[in-house]
Amino acid sequence: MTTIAQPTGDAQPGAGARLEPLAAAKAPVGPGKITAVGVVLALGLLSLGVIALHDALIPSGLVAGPSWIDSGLTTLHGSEPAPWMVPSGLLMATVGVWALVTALRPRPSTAIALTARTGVYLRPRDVARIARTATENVDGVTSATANATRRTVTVSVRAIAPGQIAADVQQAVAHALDALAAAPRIRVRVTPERGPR
Amino acid sequence: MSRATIAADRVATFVVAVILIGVGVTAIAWWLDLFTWMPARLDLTAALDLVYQSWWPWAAGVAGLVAVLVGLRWLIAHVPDRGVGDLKLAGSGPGGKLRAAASPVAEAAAQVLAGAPGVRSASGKVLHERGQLVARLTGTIETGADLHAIAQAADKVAAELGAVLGRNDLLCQVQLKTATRTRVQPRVR
Repeated sequence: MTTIAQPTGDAQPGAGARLEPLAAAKAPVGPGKITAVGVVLALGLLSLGVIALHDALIPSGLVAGPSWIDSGLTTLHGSEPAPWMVPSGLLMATVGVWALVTALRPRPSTAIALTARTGVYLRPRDVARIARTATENVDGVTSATANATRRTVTVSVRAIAPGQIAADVQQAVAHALDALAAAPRIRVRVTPERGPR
Repeated sequence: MSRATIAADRVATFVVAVILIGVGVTAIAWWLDLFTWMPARLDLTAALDLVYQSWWPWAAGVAGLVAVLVGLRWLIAHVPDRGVGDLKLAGSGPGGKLRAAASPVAEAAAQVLAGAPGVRSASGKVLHERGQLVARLTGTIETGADLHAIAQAADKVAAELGAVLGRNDLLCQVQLKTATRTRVQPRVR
């Protein structure tokens, strides 16, 4: 009998030792509205800085023209209550409430985990595409569309003989997606294909 | 994006939101004359006096420069992370440092993943994200691919990546996307 000596040192890839995969990182999240708002606010801060620098350079003669801050304050100075303040105030308050909610809301989770020892993820739209392909391969299905959220996959099919199709599609989609860590709820809508006139 | 950038976005948005709500409600209350203590006219004399002080240009200059620098830094922080440079490897000590260029190693791992059945292409990088050191592999898969096989391939690649870099704090995230178009297979007549 021949025995093959196994390396006794640190495990190396391909050395025959069963290696433990890297642990999963946090599940991916989408950028969310807060990222877009952050970019807008950063640009706003940059603009305020440019206005202040512009005014700071006027006395040195490097920049000509009136002071922007002075002009703004002079325009507002002496203002009186006016009817337009109601719609403008409402608009500002509404945008403010929206921004407040955006600031506090967690970023959207966009990941659907696969059963794996490390972190492997699909996006809902990819799960929908996989479900559609699985559906299109079912006998009798002429066309299919699919939508997916993180928990539900909805497949709409057109079929020549709708009788057994819904169960077949359900089974095909469940089989295609059985590697997902949490089995999604699968909804199937069948529309009979109209025959030739 | 780093946790600091996300926190900065949230805090700044919160502050601006409170200011917007405050100014909006005050403007409506002013027109409706809800409070007797509100002035009949907006008096900005004190603010206008400041603008004519001799030190004002200096103050505006410093504040403007700080705002521009902070604004630029904040803006750049939103650019997608290009990944970390070198990673210190296990075995580094007073006698010497062992370092590896992290992202090329992740890219090589991605190429191994790309060789798995059903995976069309893959890329990889190592980055700091939300307080974690993450090896992120991004793969494009066929819509008819066997997800079990791909998950197993991802586990294998993640194990090899861990063995090569030997960092206990390194975590892995494999993001899969499906190909939007079915690959045209060669025709046989």
